[in-house]
Amino acid sequence: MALDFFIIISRYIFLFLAVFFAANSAAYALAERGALPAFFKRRAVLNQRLIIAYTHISGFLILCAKSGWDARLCAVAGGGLAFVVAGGAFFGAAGSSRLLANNVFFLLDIGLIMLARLNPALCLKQMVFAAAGLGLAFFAPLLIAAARRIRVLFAAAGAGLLVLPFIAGVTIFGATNWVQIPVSLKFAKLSFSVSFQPSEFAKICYILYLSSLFSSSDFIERDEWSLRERGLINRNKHLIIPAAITASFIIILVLQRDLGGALMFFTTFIIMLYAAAGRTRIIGAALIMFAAAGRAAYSLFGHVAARFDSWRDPWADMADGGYQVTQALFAVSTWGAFGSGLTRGNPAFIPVRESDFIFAAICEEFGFFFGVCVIFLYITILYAALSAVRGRKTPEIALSLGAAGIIAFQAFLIIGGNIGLVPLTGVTLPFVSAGGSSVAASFVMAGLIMRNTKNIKLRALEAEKAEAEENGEEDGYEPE
Amino acid sequence: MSLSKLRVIFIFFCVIFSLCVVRIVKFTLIDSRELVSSPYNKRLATRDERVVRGAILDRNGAPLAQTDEASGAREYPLKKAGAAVTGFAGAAAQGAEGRYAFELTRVHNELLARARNLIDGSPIRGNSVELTIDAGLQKKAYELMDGRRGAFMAMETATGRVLAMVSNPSFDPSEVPENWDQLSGDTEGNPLLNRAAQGLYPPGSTFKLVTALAGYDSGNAGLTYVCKGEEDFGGNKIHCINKTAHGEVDMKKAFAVSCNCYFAVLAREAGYEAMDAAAERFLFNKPLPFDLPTLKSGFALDGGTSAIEAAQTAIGQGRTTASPAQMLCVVSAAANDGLLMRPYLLDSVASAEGKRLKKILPKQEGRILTSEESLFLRGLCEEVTENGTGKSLKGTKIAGKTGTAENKGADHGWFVCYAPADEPKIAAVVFLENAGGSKPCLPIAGKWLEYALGRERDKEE
Repeated sequence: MALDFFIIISRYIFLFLAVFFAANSAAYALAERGALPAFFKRRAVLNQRLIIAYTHISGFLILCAKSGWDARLCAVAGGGLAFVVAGGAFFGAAGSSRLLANNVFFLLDIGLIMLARLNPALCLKQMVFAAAGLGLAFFAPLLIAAARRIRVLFAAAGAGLLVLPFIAGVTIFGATNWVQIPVSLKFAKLSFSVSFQPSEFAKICYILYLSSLFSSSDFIERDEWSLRERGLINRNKHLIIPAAITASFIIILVLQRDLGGALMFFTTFIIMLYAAAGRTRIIGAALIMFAAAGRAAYSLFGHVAARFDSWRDPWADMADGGYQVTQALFAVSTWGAFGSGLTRGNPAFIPVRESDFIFAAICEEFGFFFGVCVIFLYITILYAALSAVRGRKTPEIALSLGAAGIIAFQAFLIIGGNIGLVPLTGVTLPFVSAGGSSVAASFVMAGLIMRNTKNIKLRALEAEKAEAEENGEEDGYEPE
Repeated sequence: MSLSKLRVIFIFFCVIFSLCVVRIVKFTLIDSRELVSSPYNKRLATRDERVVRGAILDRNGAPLAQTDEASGAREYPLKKAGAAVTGFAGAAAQGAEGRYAFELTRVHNELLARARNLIDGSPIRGNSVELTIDAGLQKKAYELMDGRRGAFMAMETATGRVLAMVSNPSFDPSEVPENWDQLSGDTEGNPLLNRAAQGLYPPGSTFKLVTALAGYDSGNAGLTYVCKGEEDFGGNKIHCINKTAHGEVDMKKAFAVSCNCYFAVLAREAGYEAMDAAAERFLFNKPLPFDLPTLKSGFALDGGTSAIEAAQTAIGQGRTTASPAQMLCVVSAAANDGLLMRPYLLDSVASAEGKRLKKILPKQEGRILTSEESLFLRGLCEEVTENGTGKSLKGTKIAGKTGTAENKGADHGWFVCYAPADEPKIAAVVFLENAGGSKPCLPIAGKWLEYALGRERDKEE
């Protein structure tokens, strides 16, 4: 009884924490641009870390109490707290943007709470893969350096990963984009199978390839995509070849019925190409191509047409085609702005709630205002990524933009799909959805942004200097 | 790469994410109010069991359904008489209990109620809903139906407020859980089917209101015809009831005596386009707007329809189907100067403490007839009770149309009507399954309307 009362109050606490977190992101951004005194930056980072800890503690207190203080869950809760606090601080300190690290870990933590509520085993698994992804993220500079030298390898690796499901594929929810590889260790008498989603890692290869291409030495750093005028740029090399590679990736994904994945590669290509070349006509051409391809897919593939029709009016067919989206919409809207309170809703009614529809499950129990805050976290990640490369050279900008663009666009696709804004695709919500491949790949992508510089040591020195300046400024505000 | 391009990209993302926010907020705050009560939303059945479900009240505040706070049992004071309206609560909830489950289990000032509950154990009460139903009229209708299989429904023509709705065989809502297997397994009697809103039957001669409109609009209002009791349509024959030859009839006479041959010929003269247009205006083949789930009434006529099928369609047989609620809307619009008011059941929502939270206002569904068309149809209806098949209601200020619908068993009986004839206030429909004809429907409508108008007068005084 008292627990129920606390849960109902906790809805306001969670919302307050999320809004306060967003406000701190805004304060950080303003301080960075000089609109607020510089010490707000440090203060915001600290506040956000505390918010993550508070959110984690409040969420898991409720879940543990509901479970009757289940020992395993309590252990997961404690371990999770240590992980998000230490991991977040570590990630932030070792990279270029503590704001980005905080936002990533807040998302991860919201996901952990929701997964522990839906299925505690998944929560533990998610933490393990997040830790693995975090570990891999520290090798990001190696990957970047490798891509600069032998970018063809990355294009080939991306293609190889995407083709993998044709060889060892498993079909899940109509899409054949999973791979299951049986492993047998004869000497240890162990046999098991490893399954993962190769397209998640293909994305990493792809942006590494593309950013390397667009930043290669013969690419002009001026603002021009001037083919004839300067002869500095090669149409074949910078447009035709990457376009052909992208198109082949998209075709592979469409054949696997992974439309979300196909759209991800398309959008990433357009964004990076636009950023590199700067011609508005690229966007126009992309829109025309997108409309034509969409129209063709609609008439060629039955499942595309069905998906599109159920998006246009999910209420017309609530029992079948519109079932998933209408169930998600019920979840989002039944309980009102503040949600049902953690554990008091019925996310069990939402199909694929742990991955595709986790946003709807979050909105159901935390309320849709909280869901709006989650959206803000992705905007902040994009902002932080772009702001971290301000004043840097093209190579770094291209990479950060590609990685952050992929995270943000993927978030948009699946959030929009959850609420019926865009047709539903089976992509994951980065850092939040259950899925080892997804969370690990998302962390590697964040790692690319965070450690995206040729000289980490130099970067660290600069950061120290900046820190010292900030402190100086902060002292200056103290009355003598 | 210049920063300005990055800014363009950042703004692009801000815009698409803003679309998400707008969509969530708009959907949740505006669009979802109706949708969350959909039977597909299983959440409604599982909301906090500690919340005491709010009461369903009639328009005078008398309870139609309430929860006993001591035992927690849901009580339905009207029992079987109110079942079509209240429905029942639970996983497969129906009627008002299902439709308004969201409101009934919602707690106004929830935090305060929960805090009070923690301190002194006072119950957490859900909101109550007040319906447009009048418990007295509802009971009266159920009594007059006298257990006969069929449906009764009545609404105020000028507002669309539904005053009573009965479906027989009925059931006691408080005993649904224990009798579930028997009730849901009774495929013959189908007690859980709300026949008023969801029963689809051939409308029989009540459909002649539609055919008459098609005739009027196609310039055939003056058509006269000599009825010999049967008429040939492409080798097949249409009969009048008992093969009665009505002699020379004009539309008024034919309508009053319900001459099948005349209307079959009228439809042929008017053409299927005029018939289609008239049926469409009366909302055939369209979802019927109502608070409770309804089934779409059906009407099919096109250039390829055979002559006999077209003739059957014109007299409400063949592939024409309608629910009693549908026919109620037809007669109500005809009586209300051609203006169809959306029939509705929910009048207002109030907190458990009685604070009004929401009030529903009458809504126009649309002007489906012109004043002239409405007057024309009213003239026809008046003649029915003056000199026609409804003569037993002579002198009661009621006007309407009888219907006898052939089907596999004995004929269904229909009577759609309104009163007072000169200044329509209330429209009603009586439908009796396999009653052998429309005769048994007339006294039910007559007595009920008289009672209802009497009550209105008492109220006004």
